Amino acid sequence: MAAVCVAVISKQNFPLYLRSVNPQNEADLQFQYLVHASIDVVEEKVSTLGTPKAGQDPREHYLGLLYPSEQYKVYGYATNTRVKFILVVENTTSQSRDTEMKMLFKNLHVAYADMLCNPFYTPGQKITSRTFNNAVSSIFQMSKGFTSKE
Amino acid sequence: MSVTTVQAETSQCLFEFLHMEIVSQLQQEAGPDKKGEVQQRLESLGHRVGESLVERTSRDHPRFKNELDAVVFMCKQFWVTAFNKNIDNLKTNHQDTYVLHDNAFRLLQHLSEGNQYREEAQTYLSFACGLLTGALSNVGIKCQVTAEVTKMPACTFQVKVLL
Amino acid sequence: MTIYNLYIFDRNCSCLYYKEWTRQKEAGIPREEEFKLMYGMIFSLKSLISRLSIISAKEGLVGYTASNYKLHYFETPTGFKFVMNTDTSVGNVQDVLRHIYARIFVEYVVRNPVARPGEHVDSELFAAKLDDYIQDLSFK
Repeated sequence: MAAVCVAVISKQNFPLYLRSVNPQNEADLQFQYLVHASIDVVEEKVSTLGTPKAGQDPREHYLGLLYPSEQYKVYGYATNTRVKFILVVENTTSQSRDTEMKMLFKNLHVAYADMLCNPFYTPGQKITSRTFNNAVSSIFQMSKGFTSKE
Repeated sequence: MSVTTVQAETSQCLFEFLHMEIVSQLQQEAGPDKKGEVQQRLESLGHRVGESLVERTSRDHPRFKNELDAVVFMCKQFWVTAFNKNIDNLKTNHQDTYVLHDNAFRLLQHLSEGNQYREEAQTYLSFACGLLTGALSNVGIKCQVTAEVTKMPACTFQVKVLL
Repeated sequence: MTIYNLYIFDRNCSCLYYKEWTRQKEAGIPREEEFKLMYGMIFSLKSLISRLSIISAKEGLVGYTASNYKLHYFETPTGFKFVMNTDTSVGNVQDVLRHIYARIFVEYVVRNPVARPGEHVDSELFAAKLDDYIQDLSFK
């Protein structure tokens, strides 16, 4: 269940940050499609959060599995400030635990909040911060660590 | 425990003095009779700070159910982070207006407790207005905030939600 | 104890604040002159004391006692000078003056956004808090 791609979508639904663990051109395009398509699912989930459903805590930021495809699973997380984080992981037979995903998203959220406090960053700009990049690298590392545990 | 108390006191003083100096600098740059300009600049300063501050403060807070939930969060956790106290009273007309009342606004506390310095006090509220505007806009609520001094050091912030 | 009056000077010899509670006899010179006289006297006294001192001491002038009043003096590291005249029955009031500085002057003058350093203190809040404190003391 290694994460292969991390994306940050702004509240106006354009991508602020998209990075895959192995930057190769074809895979990159595929991830862009995946992430783009998942935005719709995120919007739908967020709008239905008003009506309580079984298994979905309306006060949680974590949105869970957005949709599985053949090769990948896509997970979503929406913050209070309407910024969405998308995590794409390899679709292996091992069951990925929600707690692990939540932890990855939490770290991403912390890194994002720290980056927003950078005085040289204007909200709405593409994210180019090295610190944020490093945080995302450590998230990739952490998710690989989960695979080796299983 | 005494160490943490001392640390908290220092950083609050620091912000108050910094704010005093920012206002004084802006007033000097703008010249006499340009209060509106000074207030506008203070508000835009507060806007950016509010955006970042709300991201940090709301990180561990569960999702806001609705607009009222977000405004209540501003009155409690957000105001405590910024000024070390809650908003004392919140009123709403359940349509598009919220009135936040603070009985002892920190930045006015050392000014006066009566009628002295009322005109000057208005400028010292602009930064807080910007804080609220920035924070609420980052949470998805576009609004306009105006502040009024009732009886020093109490003041009210009127939030009008724009659609 | 009866407190007669209080002067507050800054390090540039301007009198920032003067308040009297009981005064039976005027100095006979205009207020401005009286402030200059007071500051000059304090300055000279401090200089005399440090020069004629028998042992090296950190503290300098604490005050002086005349036949019918006592003058108390307190100076801060930043150069603010607090001069208080009381009746002769009063002992050491360094703590009182320190309290006036730390809890009243700093709170309502230094932390007052509108009060600029070097200017005369106009804050009514400061005057009110000072009055309250002095009244409290006088009744002890």
